[in-house]
Order: sequence, then structure tokens, then C-alpha cells
Amino acid sequence: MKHPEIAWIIAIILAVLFAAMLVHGIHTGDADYVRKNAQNFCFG
Amino acid sequence: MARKRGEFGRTGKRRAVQWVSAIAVNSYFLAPFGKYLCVPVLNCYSCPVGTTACPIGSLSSFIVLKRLPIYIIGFVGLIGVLVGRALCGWACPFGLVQDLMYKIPSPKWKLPRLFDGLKYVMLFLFVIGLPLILGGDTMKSAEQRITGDAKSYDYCALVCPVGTLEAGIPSRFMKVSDDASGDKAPPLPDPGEDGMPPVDWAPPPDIENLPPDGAGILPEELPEPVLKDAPRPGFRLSWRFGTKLGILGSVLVMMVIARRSFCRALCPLGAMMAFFHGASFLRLRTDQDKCTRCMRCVRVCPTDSRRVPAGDERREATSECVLCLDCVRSCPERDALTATLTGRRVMRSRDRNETS
Repeated sequence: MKHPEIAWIIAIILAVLFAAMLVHGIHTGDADYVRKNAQNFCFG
Repeated sequence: MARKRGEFGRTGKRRAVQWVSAIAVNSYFLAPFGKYLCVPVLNCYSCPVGTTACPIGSLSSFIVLKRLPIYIIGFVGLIGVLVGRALCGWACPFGLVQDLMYKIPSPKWKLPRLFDGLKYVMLFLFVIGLPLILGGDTMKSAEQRITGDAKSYDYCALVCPVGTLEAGIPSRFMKVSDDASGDKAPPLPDPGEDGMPPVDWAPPPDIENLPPDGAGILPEELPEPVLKDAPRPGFRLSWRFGTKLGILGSVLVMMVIARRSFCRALCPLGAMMAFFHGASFLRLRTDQDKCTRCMRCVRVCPTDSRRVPAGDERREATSECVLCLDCVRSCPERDALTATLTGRRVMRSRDRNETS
């Protein structure tokens, strides 16, 4: 990319967006579902 | 005693980190906390000692249930933006297996770039497309899904060699599952009124001729009750599990011949993380004035992704770059090649005779 500052801006926006998605997922119980799914998957 | 760079090998620190990571994600006792985390390293969460939740398996499960995987995308995306594919190079246990397998002496082969696109097929077809279109039975047991015996059509059930290696094969030899070992495992029996599963009890053949006082009928003479649909011992090979074993064998052979071949051709997690290649805070930077274009960094690159930028070009590597930083360590020119995290230098190339 010829303009590195644009890459920085994109990276910062993406980081904020993904952090918001992560927090939203925790609040809606998705994180707990991921844990239950992982534990259900485990055969041991 | 100070040692010269390269004296103990280029990948000493990285190898140590890989081992620590492999132990951490398979440390069992951390599972109560780790199962919340979709750490983007390829390690099967069906393995009894697995600590973290596999992002690929979790994503497929969410898609089957028509549930938006916001949490998974957020988790994986945040790590992708912060460090790019560095976890592929530094923390993935299967990456460690590949690095070690490549050390086996054999004829070596350079994987054609054409194969790089195959992992995107894995991601969009097997992780997203087939689960979305065909669905699947998410309530089947782990053993049935990993070994391909359940009606699942995702990457875990059809392709994943990590699941086959870490969970599929062990589950076939360990009698830990309560409902599977055959090609088409039967459903669990309905419990009776007492909550116990029904039993098939066959009366003794001569029960009609027994004396009315019941003499001769002793508990030890009765046949053992047989649980319906009880697990059948032994190793049975379904065609789907056989196919997965074939894929695993092929992948293991390819690991010996071509460096990081699975990462480049088949890993859907690598395909996900590759999207963050251009927008990551962890970056490489070449100082054009100091670079002598000796191409040593290109030669040591495990994924053949390193590019030496020329002129105004700023592209340091293709999206296959796993940020192992072997290129930085191997560079013989001081400060010609550096790795930066949010603009701050985290590693720089040094003179070959420089002590560390």
C-alpha cells in the first residue's frame, strides 16, 4: 500500500469493530455457547 | 558467554514458543477457562486434553444453527488485526508438527503457488457453505462427528486432519464414548420408567420345565443382561473415516516434502487470518538503502511468501506470510529488515558476527 497512514486507519477501525463484536458476543451469551459447544464436542 | 547469532539455529526462540503454546493449548486443566476462547490456532477441541475452542469447529456449529458468529469473528478478527498471522508461525501446534516433519530427510519440493488458493475453497465450501446449505446434526457425539459417522458436512467431519489425528484416532481406540463405534451408530435408547436403559433379558431355554418352586434358579446361573445398543468394542472403519485417514496420511507425507504445505493449501484458519495480512499492526519493513538484495530472506521463508520490495513498492510479503520472522533473523545486514508492532520495532536484522 503506497499510503501507510491509510493502512493504519483501516487497522484501527477494524480493531475497534472486532473489539465491539467480541464484547457484544460476550453480552449475548455467544461466549458461553462456544464453551458449551467445545465441551460437548470433547469425547473424553 | 556471549554467543554469535545463528550458533544455535535460527528458530530457537520461535521453536520454544511453539512448544510452550502446544503444551498450553493441550494442558487439560486450563480447559474450564480456555473453552471460552476461540484462539486462532489449529488444535482440535474434541481432544480430551484440548484447552481452547477451535474457531473452525465453533464457526461451523454456529452456521448450522443459523446463529450469527459475531463473537467468533470478533475474537479471531481482533487477533488478526493485532498480530496478523503471527500465531500461525509462532503458536500453532500443527505448525510445529509441520516444521518438525520437514526436518525428516527426503527429496524436497516447492509447492506451486496454485495450491495457495485451495484453502479458501476449504473455508468457503467446507466451513461455511456446506454447513449452511446441508445443515448437520450438532447433537451427535463428538466421536461420531470427528470420525465422520454423524450427519455432519463441515470441515471437521469431512476433512480436518488435525481432528483425525488428535481426536478421531484416539477415540476409536479408547472406549470412552457411550454410543458409537460403528459405521452408523444407533441412537441412544429411551430410558425406562426407572430412568435406566432397557435391557434384553433372554430367559433360560429350559425355563418351562423348571420345578414350580423355582429350585435350581440361582442368580449366578442367569445370563448377563445385555444393554441395548451398548458400545461394540473394536476398531471399525467407515468410508468417511477411511477418507479422513487418507487425507491425514497425504498431509503428513506432504509435510515432509513441502514446507508448511498444509498451512498454504488446506488450512481454513490460515485463509481467515490471511484477510488481515494488509491491515495488521505487526509488519515487516525493509530499508531500501541498507538492503543488498542478497535474497537470503526469500530463501529461508517457509511459505515462499517473502518479497523484497523495490523502488516505491511497499509490499513485503504475500498474504501467505505467517510472520515467523525467520527473514529478519536471517538477514545479514544491520537494520535492513525490521519487524514493527504499532510502529515500534520488535525485531531487527543484525550483523552475522554481532553477539546477542
